[in-house]
Amino acid sequence: MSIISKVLLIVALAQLFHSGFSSYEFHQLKKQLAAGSSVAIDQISLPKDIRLEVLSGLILFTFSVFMSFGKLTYLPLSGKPVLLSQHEYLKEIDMNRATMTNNLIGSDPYGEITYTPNFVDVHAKRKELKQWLNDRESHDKVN
Amino acid sequence: MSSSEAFADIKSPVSIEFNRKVILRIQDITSLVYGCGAGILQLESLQGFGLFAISYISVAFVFFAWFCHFQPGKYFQSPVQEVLIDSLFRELAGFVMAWTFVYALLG
Amino acid sequence: MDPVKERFLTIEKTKYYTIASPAEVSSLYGQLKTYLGSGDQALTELEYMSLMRMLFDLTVYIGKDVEAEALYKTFADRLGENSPHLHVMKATLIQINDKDAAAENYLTTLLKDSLEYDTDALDYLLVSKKLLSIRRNSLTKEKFIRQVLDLVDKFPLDAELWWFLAQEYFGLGQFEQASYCLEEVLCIHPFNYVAFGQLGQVLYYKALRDKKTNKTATLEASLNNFLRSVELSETFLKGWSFIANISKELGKKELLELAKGKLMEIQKSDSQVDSATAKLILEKL
Repeated sequence: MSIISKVLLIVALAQLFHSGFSSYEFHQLKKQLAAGSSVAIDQISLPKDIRLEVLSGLILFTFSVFMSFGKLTYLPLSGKPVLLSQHEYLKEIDMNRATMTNNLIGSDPYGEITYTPNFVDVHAKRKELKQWLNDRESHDKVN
Repeated sequence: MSSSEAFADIKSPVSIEFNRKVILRIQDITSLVYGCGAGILQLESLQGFGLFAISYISVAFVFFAWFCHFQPGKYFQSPVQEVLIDSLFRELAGFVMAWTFVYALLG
Repeated sequence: MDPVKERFLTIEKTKYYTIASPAEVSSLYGQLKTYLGSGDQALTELEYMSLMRMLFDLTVYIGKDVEAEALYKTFADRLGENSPHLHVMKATLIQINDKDAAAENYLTTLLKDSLEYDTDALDYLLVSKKLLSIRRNSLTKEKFIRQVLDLVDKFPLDAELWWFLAQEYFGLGQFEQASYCLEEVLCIHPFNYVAFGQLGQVLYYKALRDKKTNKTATLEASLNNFLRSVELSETFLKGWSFIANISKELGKKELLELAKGKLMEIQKSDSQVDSATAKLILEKL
């Protein structure tokens, strides 16, 4: 949620709360008037400023909700962690376009099949990593 | 349908679900708050439902314009159905609940 | 959704970490540990558990055996030892702490004593796959493939098994069998564009070996599969690069131009790896 969205949300909620309280007081007054005098209270409607405040609160709130959804961003699975974006709020539904996000971040959505994860050779993997760690250590020592 | 036609029309279920969640979230929040607004304004009968209709349609319009760049077909299989009709009664229920609650609280 | 969380979940879901380079595994291990330690509130229980499962595999790869043991015990306390993934994890631990034979023994007893009679299909499948992965180095290719085929007979709808078989056949140069296996994968997942690409690749190698009369037909078939893959994914680098190559060989100028255009588009995209590869391929064309 962006900062603007949060600020708008606070202003909108404050306006709604304030107008709600004003409306409450107005109706209490109206009831008292009705009990104590012969004024035609049905003619008195909610003051314009309260109505405008409600309206403004509602509109600001709507914008705050929309703004709370930023453009979608992704981190690539490998390589430098740079935030990537396609400048979209939603995801396209056509398969050929939807899979572009996967290509962008370098992910294979069928990896569970294509990487054959259940057939990993644990020993080979460990050996490879050990080798790499040793290489890095000796490299660090040289520098 | 030939196979090439079939392949041209494949939709991604992940994207469909994601977009549906976004619009539902927006509608859920706004309809509750507009219900509160209707309660604060002490609207009664048709006036309240009128506010709901206006808010519901205008939120959908802003959504189409802002989030869909006026191309809802790219993000929804049948935009009118998914955005306006599917969640109508759900949102109406939320609206009426908030409306009556705030109305009774202030009145 | 938070991009950091989404990245971890994607890596877990696609099992990218099983093929990542050592440098990536090492950095991923550090990142994931910090992330899980930070206690992200947005993680659901299920997501947390699957990330822990990934952490277990990473600790095993990286050689932190004590930590892996501790992670296994956490899982066992939570879920009990009698569950599919726990069986596989335990076998892995036996493999690294003891010998392969011990792990093999553990899994075969498990299969014989209970899984043959249980109705837990997932458990049977996972344990059998783990058993095969352990036996892979000790058996001859023919015997090993026979055992995989036996398992395929029991689980004809498991795409990973078919894919694995295809790889084995491809390694042996038996392209006919490999393409058959990939077609089976496509029957199970008809929109798997990666499998279309792989099938195209197998056919391409077959065409290289074929005699002149058959060559064009096989190349055409291979091209069609690549075209289908890019129909499903517009920026699929492997698809476009093979399309460019094959259309060049077959003298299809229009298609070659289209593929070049698409490769240039990929080269300009933000994807680091794909963009560099596309550049190389364009230079070679």
